[in-house]
Amino acid sequence: MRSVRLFFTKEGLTRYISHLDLMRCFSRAIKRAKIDIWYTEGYNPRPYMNFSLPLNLGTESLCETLDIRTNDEMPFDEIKCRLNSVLPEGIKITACAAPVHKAEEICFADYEISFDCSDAEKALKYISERLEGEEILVEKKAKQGRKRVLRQINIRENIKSYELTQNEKVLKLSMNVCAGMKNNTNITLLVDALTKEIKDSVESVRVVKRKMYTQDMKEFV
Amino acid sequence: MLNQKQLKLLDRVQKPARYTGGELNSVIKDKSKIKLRYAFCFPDNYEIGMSHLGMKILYSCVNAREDAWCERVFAPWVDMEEEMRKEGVPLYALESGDSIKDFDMIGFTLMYEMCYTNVLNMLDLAGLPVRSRDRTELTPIIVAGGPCACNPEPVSAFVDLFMLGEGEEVTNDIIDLLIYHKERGSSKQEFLEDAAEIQGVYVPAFYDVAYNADGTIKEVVNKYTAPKSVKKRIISDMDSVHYPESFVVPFIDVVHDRVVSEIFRGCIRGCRFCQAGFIYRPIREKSAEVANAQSKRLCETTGYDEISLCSLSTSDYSEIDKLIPTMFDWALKENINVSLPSLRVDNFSDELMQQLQKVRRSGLTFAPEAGTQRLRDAINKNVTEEEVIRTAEKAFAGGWTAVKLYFMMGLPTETYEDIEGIARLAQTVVNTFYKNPDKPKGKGVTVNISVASFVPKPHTPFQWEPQDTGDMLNEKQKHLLECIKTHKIQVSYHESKTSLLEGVFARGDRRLCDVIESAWKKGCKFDSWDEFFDFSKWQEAFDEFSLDPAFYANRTRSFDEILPWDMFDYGIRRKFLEEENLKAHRSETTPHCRIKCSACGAARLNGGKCDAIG
Repeated sequence: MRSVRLFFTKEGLTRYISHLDLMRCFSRAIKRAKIDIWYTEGYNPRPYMNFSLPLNLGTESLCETLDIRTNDEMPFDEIKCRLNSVLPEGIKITACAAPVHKAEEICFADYEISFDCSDAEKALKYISERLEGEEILVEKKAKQGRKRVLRQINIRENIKSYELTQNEKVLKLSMNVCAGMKNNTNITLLVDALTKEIKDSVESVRVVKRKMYTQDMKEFV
Repeated sequence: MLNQKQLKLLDRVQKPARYTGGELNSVIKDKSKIKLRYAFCFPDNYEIGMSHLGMKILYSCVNAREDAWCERVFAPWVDMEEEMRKEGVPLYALESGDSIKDFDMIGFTLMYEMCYTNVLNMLDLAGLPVRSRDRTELTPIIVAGGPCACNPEPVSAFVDLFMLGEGEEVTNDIIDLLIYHKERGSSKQEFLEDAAEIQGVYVPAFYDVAYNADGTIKEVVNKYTAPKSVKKRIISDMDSVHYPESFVVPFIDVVHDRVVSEIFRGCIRGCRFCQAGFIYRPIREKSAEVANAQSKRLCETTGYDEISLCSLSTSDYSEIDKLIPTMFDWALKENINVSLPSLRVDNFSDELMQQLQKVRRSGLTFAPEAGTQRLRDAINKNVTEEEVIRTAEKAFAGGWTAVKLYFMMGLPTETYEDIEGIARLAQTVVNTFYKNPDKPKGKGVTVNISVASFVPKPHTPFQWEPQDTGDMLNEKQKHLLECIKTHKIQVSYHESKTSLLEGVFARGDRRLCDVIESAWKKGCKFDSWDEFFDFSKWQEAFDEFSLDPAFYANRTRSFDEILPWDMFDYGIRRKFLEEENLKAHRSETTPHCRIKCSACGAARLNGGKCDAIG
């Protein structure tokens, strides 16, 4: 049994595939590719698969990872080729290698958000003001014991650095934010907060996750 | 591919993956090389439509042709519909993203009566007039098929032509003909006149129906090229008929998300309430080799980890003992689960039980259908109480602790004694569990009884019978609940108002077209979904046209009456159905087709061949 980490992109319309659906999609692709994947040994054996970090519905990504285990030593390149020939358009394996970091080591992520605006000046003013402030309060669904509650958090604290630029009608926001199992940034909540009062000036938003890092800002591999 | 306007909607709706297309194995073709574009519509949501085997077969069948491109269309959920109407996005096909208004042919599969308003709604969303007579151009031609096409009269004003019976061949006949007429620049009338001459094609505009003063049919007159009676189409050889090499694999979880292996068509049983048992006759089996090879290929192309055998009664398949071991042999090695739905309690063998234990265990469901032997005889459900108990014993010995029992309420000749019988039988099953010496420690048993309201259907021996009224059913439900003494038995039943409408449309005539159009205009859609079903709107629509649902549902018809579906020949002789009806009232059974052929007449459709009689 050998551990294999698949690095893949999830672009275009595949951004609408939810985390659970992505699991199913991969388990079928692995079957079609005839990769000898290791099955769990419980009551209901199922292919062992572990995604490092779930991606929000509607978000694209260039840096997703999936860990599997294979029963044989099929070369990494062959796994990559076989999977790419059976995966749906939009999901592409970029690399396949033995895992170096543990999924728990993910601490930060880079996102690039493009706002396609009808009124770019107004949007630029509003978004920069929000980012320059010290507080961006959002309501996050949480659990308190067994109860489901809404908790207010300051999501601004999660933004480590950012750069906001304008190119005609398009605003581009590059950000480095907290990520990972302990303190993940819900990027959908953040984007909603940044466009809250200017919905009419923003026509569409595209969110792409670009890179994930460990505590000491090394790329997650 | 979706355009910017369509894409914008997706961020605002639930489950956007219903509307994106791009699933694995979906078929994309070069538009410039296509002579005919076909939009195959399923008048319910994506999750239900993507579970439908008929659609998979016909999608693959049409796309096997080089000159035609078949695409999928589902009823957008209400949130998406609202956005589409707001933004002016017409109904589009998933593969190309093109508006279906510009297609050559639009087809609907009519799986159940309660989807009729969705057909109208989808035509309207496409930007087309809902009435056939208001669409004067040759294309798009609106066609429909599926089980409800065995009495399509309630939707006959909206559809240009219906295909009766199995679609693999007749769909291609229609496509050939439409391509021919398109190239010649023919009129819609010219095309329909030629189409009406094809076996299995019903063009409603070519028939005039006259009524008696009491609302029954006086006569039906056929015009132009239309035959007096339309004979359904069947596939003669199941081994050579087209079967998909691959299924479109959805991203989101759909109702039936697995490989489906069809093993035979028709049913030998002849349960008198069951429409499927009659309209799919004669019996035609697929060989075990072909079924096995097709399943294997489908697993390879889809990556699914489950195969489900498909037929009306799996254990009646004559090669079941050959197919199961062959299939298990490779499937288990590849961690593929095989499920066998529709097993009967009277021939559920020990070997089959042992095989089933090798795979993941799901619930066990039996369908005694009625609570007493007398009523089971009347409906010709040839299952005895001993058989139900023996099977339950086997199941409990095999480790099952939950059993589901299906019953019907409102069956012809039913009395309160039969209702009490349901509770008694369920209690006996509970007792059986506790008699098992090896029963798992600390585990109780759950017997779920699901009670459906019986709806008389066309082309069955009960087609003349009155349906119980809502009040009668409510009383019976109340009585059943009073008879149940333990919490180990759980009862669930269906909404009786939906059953009433289902009954009306099942045996309705073409005057109901006005009612359906009016109800749809009042906002009725997704009527099979409790959260959208609004009976008061339907009642208003009936009142508007002075029609009474009870006339269609709760009235006893005489054998002399001309029934709206008498002109549709599904192979079964009317005399046979009459005899079966009389036998029901005498609680007499009819042996199944392998014991003795009852000469129902269906074999005539297949040159006298029927796999039940060899």
